[in-house]
Amino acid sequence: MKLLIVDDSLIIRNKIDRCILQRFSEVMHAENGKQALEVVIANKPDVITMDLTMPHMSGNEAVKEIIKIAPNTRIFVVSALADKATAISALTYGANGFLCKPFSAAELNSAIERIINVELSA
Amino acid sequence: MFRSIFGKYRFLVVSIALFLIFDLGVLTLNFYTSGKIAEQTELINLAARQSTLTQQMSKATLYIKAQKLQQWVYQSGVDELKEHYTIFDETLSAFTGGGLVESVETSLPIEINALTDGDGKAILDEANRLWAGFQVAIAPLMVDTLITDDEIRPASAFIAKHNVDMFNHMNALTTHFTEVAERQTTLLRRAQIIGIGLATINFFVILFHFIRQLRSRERVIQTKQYESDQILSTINEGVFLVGRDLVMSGQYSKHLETVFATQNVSGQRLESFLSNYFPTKTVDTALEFVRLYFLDHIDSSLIADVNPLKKVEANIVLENGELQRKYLDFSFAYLQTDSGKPSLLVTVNDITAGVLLEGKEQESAGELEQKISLITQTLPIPEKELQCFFDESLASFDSINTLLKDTGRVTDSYENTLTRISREAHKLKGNAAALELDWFANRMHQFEDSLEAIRTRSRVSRVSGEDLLPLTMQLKECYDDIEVLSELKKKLLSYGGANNVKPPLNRVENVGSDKQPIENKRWFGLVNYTNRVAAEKDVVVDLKLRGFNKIVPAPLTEKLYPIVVQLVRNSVSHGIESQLTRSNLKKPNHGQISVSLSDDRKGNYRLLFEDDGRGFDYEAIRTDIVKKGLIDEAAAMALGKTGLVRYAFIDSISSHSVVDTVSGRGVGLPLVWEQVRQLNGKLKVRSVQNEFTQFIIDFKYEAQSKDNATIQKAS
Repeated sequence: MKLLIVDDSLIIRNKIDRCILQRFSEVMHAENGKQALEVVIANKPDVITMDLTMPHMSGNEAVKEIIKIAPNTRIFVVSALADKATAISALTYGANGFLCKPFSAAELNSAIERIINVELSA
Repeated sequence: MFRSIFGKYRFLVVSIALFLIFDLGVLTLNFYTSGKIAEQTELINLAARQSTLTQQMSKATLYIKAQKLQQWVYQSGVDELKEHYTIFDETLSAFTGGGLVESVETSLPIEINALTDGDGKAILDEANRLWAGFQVAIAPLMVDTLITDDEIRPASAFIAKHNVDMFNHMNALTTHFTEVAERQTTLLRRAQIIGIGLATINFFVILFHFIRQLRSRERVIQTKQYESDQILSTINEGVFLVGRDLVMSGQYSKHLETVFATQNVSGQRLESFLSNYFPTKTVDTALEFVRLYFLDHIDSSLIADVNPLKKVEANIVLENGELQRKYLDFSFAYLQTDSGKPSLLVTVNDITAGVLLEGKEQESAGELEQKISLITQTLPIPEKELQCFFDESLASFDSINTLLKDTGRVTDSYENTLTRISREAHKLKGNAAALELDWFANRMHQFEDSLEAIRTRSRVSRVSGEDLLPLTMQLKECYDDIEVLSELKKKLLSYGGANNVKPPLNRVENVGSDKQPIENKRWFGLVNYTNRVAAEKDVVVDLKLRGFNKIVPAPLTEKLYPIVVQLVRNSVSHGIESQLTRSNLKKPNHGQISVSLSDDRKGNYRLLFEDDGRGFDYEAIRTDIVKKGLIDEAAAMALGKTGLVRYAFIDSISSHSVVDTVSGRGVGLPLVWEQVRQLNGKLKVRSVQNEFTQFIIDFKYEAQSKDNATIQKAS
């Protein structure tokens, strides 16, 4: 399985990278929604962790676009709870779950497991 | 397996199966017996025909005889006899050994079985024996030759003699068949009665069972309903269901009505219900959140964090029309109901008490933290210095308290009283700040804020003693803090804890190289204080103290120390420029402040305070004088530098427009002047813009015997 970590913070990207278990054969990084779209088109990741507030293209917009081109991709939003409405919008657009920053490795891995097991109606 | 297949319906299935078996049994028996009865009816008809045939054979024989005697044609009689004889014989043979016979009703050949039961067989045996005689007697008549008189007479005589016997045998056979048929009919009737009886019993068993089941289920449902009602009426949570259509269910907990102070819950649209208590934006977000639970791609366990109705503030209108603010906590659980329709179980908790308690706890924790911080701040302060601060503070509190009490009673105006209180408070703040007792300094700053607010109000409207009440309260709190702190310090000292605490290194290191008397340590602390205030103001300052290598008498320190503190604060706030500005002005990077105390050993003292800052901002003072309405603009413009400086020593005049914890209230210099007056001293001010400012205070001081005693004791 392939994982794409989308966050404008290198620290957060590295933290997620460090925390995840040996579940993924490939882990890719993207700094913003635009880059994430490019990676999705080129590499078709199975799971995406998506920050919401990013330059160039926000997480919400990215989720909307990714669901159009790769509807079976599992996406979970990893964000601080500054604006719950934005997070809810991302979920409405097609993200499968939400993980609040800051998070522990156990929380992250548990969320990934749950997201992978979500049955998509499509 | 049976149990697993039919489960709770097995009784119904068994009962219906039994019902069907009974019905089928009766039907089968009915069918079988009916067949038998039909067969028996055929036998009865055949036996009855045999009786008739007996008579007809007798009649035909008598006919032949009569025709023969009259020499008439008798052939038709012979033909009739032959026909009757043949049918009778075939039928009797079939009764005896089974075989095909012609049906009475249809004239078609039918198969009958040999008669086997005893009574019937006995009749048949008798009939067969008699028939044998008939056959012998009739045989000559059955040939196609002419019948002689010798042939007809014995035949006629035999038939006449035995005709009735044969008739009776055949009647007996008919009766026998009839009896058999009746028995079969009786059996069938009984079987039908039994079958119908069993089926009826089975039906009633099923009916009873179902009624019992229905009653039992009804009782269970009623019990569950009762329990459910009990739970919903006693549960201390607001509970209700919401469907995909976002309509609230009819069943909900009684507590929900209490939480929202309404009985209008059932069947409401969630949107309109929430709109009664929350802002539109919260409602919109909440509805969007609730809809997430019904989306297939969402894992409901991973969205609880974005619940917008967690610890949410609700404005609830009570029955009496009063608006009550509550803190509510909504939680949601996805349910798949029996009907297959998904629902959301919504639980609402009133967490107002918890939230308020949490707030109070935080407040208490904050206060405790502040007190601990205050205690921690006092630990490095030398005992005497701290005691001095406590004594001065308590004296100032007493002074302020007296002023507050006397307000309105004495001839002094409110404005003047407030000014005097303000000076005392400012002095306390300065002293606390100099000792790095920030928490206390902040308290005094808040006190000054309150004071300032009253002073501002007093300028536009009459101030009463009630307006000063908050000041009294604040003062009381400060007083209590100092008392508590003083007690704690004493206890710590008694444990030896405070004696073991070493003051911070910089407190001593920055004092200078001269050997400094311990009594003057309060003065040494000014170096550290200056650095802290400078850091706050983003400037760098070097403070140099001169003349403090001799013991400064405590009463003198009490008067001079607040002066120097205020001047340091003023200098750092308004005088010393930033490093960049100083660099542009070709000044040393570090601002220089010098405080020197000298005397001529005849009791004439001089305190010289100087800095190399920007000097007095005369224009700012001029502006403030006009703004405060002390003089008009023309008069202000006419003022020279000396005149403007004089105004700087009047209350509330400041060259600094922003009030902060360090300066800007226009209280510092008036306080300096007040202290100088208390020393009966003279104050000279010299200032050159962008060069320096000097404050020269000359005064006389002669140590009293009590002071000496104090110094001696301190030594």
